[in-house]
Amino acid sequence: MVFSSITFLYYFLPIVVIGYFLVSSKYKNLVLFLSSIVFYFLTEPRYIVVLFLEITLVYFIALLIPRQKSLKWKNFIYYTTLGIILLVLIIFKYSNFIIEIFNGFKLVNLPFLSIVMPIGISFYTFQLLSYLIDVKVKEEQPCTNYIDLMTYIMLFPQLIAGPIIRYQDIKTQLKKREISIEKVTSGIKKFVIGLSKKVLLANSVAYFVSNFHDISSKTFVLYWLYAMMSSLQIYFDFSGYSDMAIGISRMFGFDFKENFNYPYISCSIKEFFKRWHISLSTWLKDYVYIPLGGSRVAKLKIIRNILITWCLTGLWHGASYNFLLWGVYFAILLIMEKFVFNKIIDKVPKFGRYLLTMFLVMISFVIFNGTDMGVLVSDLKGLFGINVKFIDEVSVFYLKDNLVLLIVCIISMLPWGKDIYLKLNKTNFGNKLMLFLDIVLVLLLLVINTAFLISDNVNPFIYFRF
Amino acid sequence: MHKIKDKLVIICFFGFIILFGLLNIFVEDKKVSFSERRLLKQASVLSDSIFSSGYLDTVEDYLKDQFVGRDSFKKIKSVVEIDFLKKLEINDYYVSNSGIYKINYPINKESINNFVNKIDFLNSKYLVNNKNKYFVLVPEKNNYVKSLPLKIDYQDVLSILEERLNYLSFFDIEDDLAMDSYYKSDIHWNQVYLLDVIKSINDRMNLDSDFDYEVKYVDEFKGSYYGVVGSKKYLDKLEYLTNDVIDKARVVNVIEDKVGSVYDLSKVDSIDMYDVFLSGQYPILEINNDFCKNKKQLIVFKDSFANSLVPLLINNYEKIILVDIRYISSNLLDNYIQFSNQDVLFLYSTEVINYSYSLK
Repeated sequence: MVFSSITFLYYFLPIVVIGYFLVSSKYKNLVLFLSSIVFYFLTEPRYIVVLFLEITLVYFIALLIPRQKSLKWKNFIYYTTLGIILLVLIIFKYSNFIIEIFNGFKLVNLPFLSIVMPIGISFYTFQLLSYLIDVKVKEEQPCTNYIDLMTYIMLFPQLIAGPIIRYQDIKTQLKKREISIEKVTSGIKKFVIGLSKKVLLANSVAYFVSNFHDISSKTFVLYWLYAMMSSLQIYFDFSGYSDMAIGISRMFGFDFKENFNYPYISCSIKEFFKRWHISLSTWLKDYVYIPLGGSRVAKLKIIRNILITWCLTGLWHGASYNFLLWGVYFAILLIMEKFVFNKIIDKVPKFGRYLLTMFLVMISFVIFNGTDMGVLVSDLKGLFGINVKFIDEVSVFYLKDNLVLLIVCIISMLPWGKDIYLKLNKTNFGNKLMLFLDIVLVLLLLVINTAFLISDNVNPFIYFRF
Repeated sequence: MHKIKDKLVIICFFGFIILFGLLNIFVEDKKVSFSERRLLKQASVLSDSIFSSGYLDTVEDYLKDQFVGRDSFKKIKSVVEIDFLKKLEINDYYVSNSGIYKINYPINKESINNFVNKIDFLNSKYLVNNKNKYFVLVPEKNNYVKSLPLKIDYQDVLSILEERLNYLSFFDIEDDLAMDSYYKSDIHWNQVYLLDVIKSINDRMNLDSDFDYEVKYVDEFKGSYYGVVGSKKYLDKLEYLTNDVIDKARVVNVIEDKVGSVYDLSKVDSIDMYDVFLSGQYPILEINNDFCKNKKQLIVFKDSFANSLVPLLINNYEKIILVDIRYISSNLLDNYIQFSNQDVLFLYSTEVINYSYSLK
């Protein structure tokens, strides 16, 4: 079930909210746990058992680890459990990619497996891993309440597309959290903004992106329009989902950290990843990059650490060569930024650095979308004007068709709206205006989103496939 | 004050979704969307197995179809897309002031190949002895929209077909039509504007064109694209041309063994108003003209464009047989039709040729 659906918005959400606020604090987690089971069951009925078994295994092992006196035995159960959790991920997500690699060497011809990946497996696997690692390595207290751990992993707002929440960040909130009218209102506003990013912007942009490769006459200008639209689609799709997840959780009293912080205002790749999918970047930094030695080792080892972390980042996004290439691409850019251009880059004017960063990011999202290597090569050639015309009447048509949408998207990706809102709220006039505007905007956006949801055929969540 | 505002936001948000959620449950389901010209999903789909992975999609489709005020919400979407975002293309449709156009682009050469093979098959199996064999390529209305570059060039398709089907005489009717010759909210041409086309065809086939027609108004016309925008500015008039011969012609549905008339006014209330012409799309129809005793017969292999054009050819023939191989296998035609030395007309639009896999 996706949040941007009539089923979720008009039935699932109000029923859960009513149930949640009708019961006493003692049973609120139970309501969330049960509704999360229904949510996952309706989305992925086949694999709910896999999810249950993994959480149950981690629950008992985490309880067992601190009680073990023998280090050998402690390590054995710890690594075996990590291995099992990773193996489940590898089987479901990477087995066909591994077969493809083996077959590529032409030594064997293994048949592909008819296997469907459980939705959200990459997200909940990372949550389970971080929980177990924290209990073993950081010697954090394990969760003793089975329902609480289940609720943490299965909490439906973040179950299938994140953000990736750490148990340490949520454990006190699972026991006690502030539920207030202000929080519910703030959650509603966050949810409606996320819904609008997804339904009004990402889906509208997706129409051009998904049809781009069917256009027979492609030019240099059209390739760059595609690169821009792809970048916007991925951003609004995923940040919209994160906003909705954070908004819904806030309605229930949870405070989740922001997952996106206006990444398209970044002036370097390093800054970009401090603002983009923050929960994944920090997860990989804390559980892969730093344990490998991070930046406090010799130059060659730093390069190795960056490469390993970014190959994993790429592969986390999907089991195919383009995602691996996407990760390697950013690893190389980050290494260059750190060791080659670190002294020059500060001398470049900020706007120049900004344009360069956006240029590199847009190319990256063309790689991200290029699941077919042949198509990807021709897309990259097109972006550099190889064997294509500069512009033609078809490109002009698509430019005209998408111009206003593009302007709206660009304005929406900048923090201007938020800045104006905050500044207005500080003035007397603005404060009074907001009393009225908040209500009108929430209702207006709800009506427009409903209109788009009813009519739209294009409504996939890109990050669901991860 | 802020607390009141916060409470109002909560009341408005949940009030709206709960109100519409309940209305959707209690308001009776509609069977048909006349603005979209299609049947709507019914509650029966909810009884599918909940364990099937597509169950939620089925429920979502049903809820979307039966959402209270669906037509009004769709209009809101059109306003946002057309008036605010200034979109030209909406879900494969090009929307301009002159009409709504389904984008059929680019040329699909494999499909054209398939089409040519199909015509070759019909010719070699049934039409070897027929002398007068003609082909009318119907331009799609996109052809006349200067501001739309995403269209198939009529002359390109015509030249491919002329080269490949060189045993047929081709009619170029591009100049006999204009943008106004088509309905604003439908793919089809408007019969009232076909007299130039009819004259061209009759002239080339050495037939008489000297017939008078009376224009009869039926109703407002909402075509199959009307629901894309839902605006009244895309309403047309449903009119037809008739005379004594056409009025009295008998239309026989060969497969269903039914007799009717050329214009079936009962179809005005059907999902597709264009079905007024020959009652819609059927595998084999015969139009019999009892006034004509010249023994001349015409076989028309056709798509839906022929339904409004062919009635205007009946004055010159005793019988016209219309064959639509989208609904019957090409192998079975001699079970129903006696092929002799009839005139033969192939009448296909560029759209069907570009998506020819529906031809059996």
